[in-house]
Amino acid sequence: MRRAAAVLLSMCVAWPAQPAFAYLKLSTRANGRQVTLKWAQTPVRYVVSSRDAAAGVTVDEFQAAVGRAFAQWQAVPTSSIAYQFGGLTAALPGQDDGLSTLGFRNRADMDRVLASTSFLVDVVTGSLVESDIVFNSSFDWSTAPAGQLGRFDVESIALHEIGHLSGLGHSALGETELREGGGRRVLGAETVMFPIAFGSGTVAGRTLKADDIAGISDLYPDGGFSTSTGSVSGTVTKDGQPIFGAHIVAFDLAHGSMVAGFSLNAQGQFSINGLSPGPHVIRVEPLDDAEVDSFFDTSLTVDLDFKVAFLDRLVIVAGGGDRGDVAATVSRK
Amino acid sequence: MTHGSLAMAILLTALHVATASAQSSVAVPGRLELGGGILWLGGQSLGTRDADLTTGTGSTLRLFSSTSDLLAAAGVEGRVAVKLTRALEAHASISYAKPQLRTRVSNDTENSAGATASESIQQYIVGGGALWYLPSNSSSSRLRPFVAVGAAYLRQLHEGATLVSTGQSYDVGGGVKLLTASRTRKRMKTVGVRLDARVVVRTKGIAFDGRRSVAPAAAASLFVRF
Repeated sequence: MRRAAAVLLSMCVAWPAQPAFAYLKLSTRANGRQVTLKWAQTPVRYVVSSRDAAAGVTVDEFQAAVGRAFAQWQAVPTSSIAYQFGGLTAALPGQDDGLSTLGFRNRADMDRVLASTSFLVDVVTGSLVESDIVFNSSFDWSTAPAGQLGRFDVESIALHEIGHLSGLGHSALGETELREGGGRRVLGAETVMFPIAFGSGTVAGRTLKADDIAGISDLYPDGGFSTSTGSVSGTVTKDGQPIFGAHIVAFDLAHGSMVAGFSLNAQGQFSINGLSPGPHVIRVEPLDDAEVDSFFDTSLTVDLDFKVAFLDRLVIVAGGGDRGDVAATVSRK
Repeated sequence: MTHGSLAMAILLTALHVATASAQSSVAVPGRLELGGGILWLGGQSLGTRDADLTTGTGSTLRLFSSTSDLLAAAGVEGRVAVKLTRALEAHASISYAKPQLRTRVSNDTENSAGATASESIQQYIVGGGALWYLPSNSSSSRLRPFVAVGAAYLRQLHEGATLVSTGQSYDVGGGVKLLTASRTRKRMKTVGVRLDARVVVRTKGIAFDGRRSVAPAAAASLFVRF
């Protein structure tokens, strides 16, 4: 679900039983066990709804824009996921009809939600069966190459929602500030999977970042992903006690890229996969730049009462290896 | 003048001096030289890199800054040299040092206190070069000034030997050999002390900004000649 700036709605993500590698992946309970939400077979076939439209965007322009977004995800060299355009349909997105449909619907009731993704899951295997993306036509949209003032960019929002369609949850790799009157404004983000969109008129969200590439490659690894990249794992503690929901950022000194993860269980364990080999700086921060329920189920208690901290040593990532000895400690605010 | 052109200028000057002086230098007794001693390698800057977020306008927002250095370190060095002419030697050398790779983090957007993160690097430099003896004032002098140039393979192992970075190292410098004992009729012809200073130019290896780095170095060693 991609929100307009200052939105307060949430996308709940089930808590994985074990730390997820490198990203917040969606998961579900199937047949009594927790499984990662993903497609069992690819290419993922999708269709585009021609039934509703948004002012200023034709069906052809919409289909071309989402096609470019699908192509970006598919072009990730270390991921095997593929998509296939299945044509136009008169069906609306959000209907459980076995078709993964993308299209506009007027959802004026969701006044701060730009788009949302829904899933149909096989309850036995946990595999995705269908995933629809609704673009809220109560907003103004554009497919202009350089964006259009006052209109949200279809391709940028499609890129985010297709991440969800593929099984990715939200990433917290961004900074926001509170707005007067409520909500948040994005100051910067280094992932297309940040839960809050940039404002209208921008196309800055059209490019996948290292964090997104690590996430999709972790879900659908291909090529040399397992050998050409490495991982960092460890624990986060405060006052000697493990904490849940800490956001850990691994900064690659050689390339300047960032990939992030969370401490995801009661032991404070985290794991970040898909890192380029080389020295990394580790930064730990509280999840305070978006609503917590954008990332985790509301039944979970996320610790926000600690200061940003850096690990006092560089972590060396080796291709195909895991540095599982990272013990990060944080202190109260 | 860039680091690279500075090094090249020093190298050319050294070559010129060596060529001009070769005819008048005094040979050091013995043809084969073995030596070993301690080495000090100066620190080198590995550059600054920001952890940037992308803003809605496509510009960047700095999350924090990082500045990295490979700190100065002491090490050991071994050398074998062969006399080619009265004034010219070829040598092969190997050195080992364990410098710290240090990264300082600052300017955090959430006002986190600055921090320093570091790790130990095991650094091996294996290479060869040439040495020219400069003219000496007296044939009986025990001091033998020289200039030298070298090129080497650089191998740097990160902590726990989990990752290897390789590159090249080039050096130019000069120094003196102090002959403490010379016995022309014995198998061991000469025993002495070598002191030298160098400018070291390194490419690749651990280099976050992709640039060549220049660092000073100094060494002191004992040698024997046969």
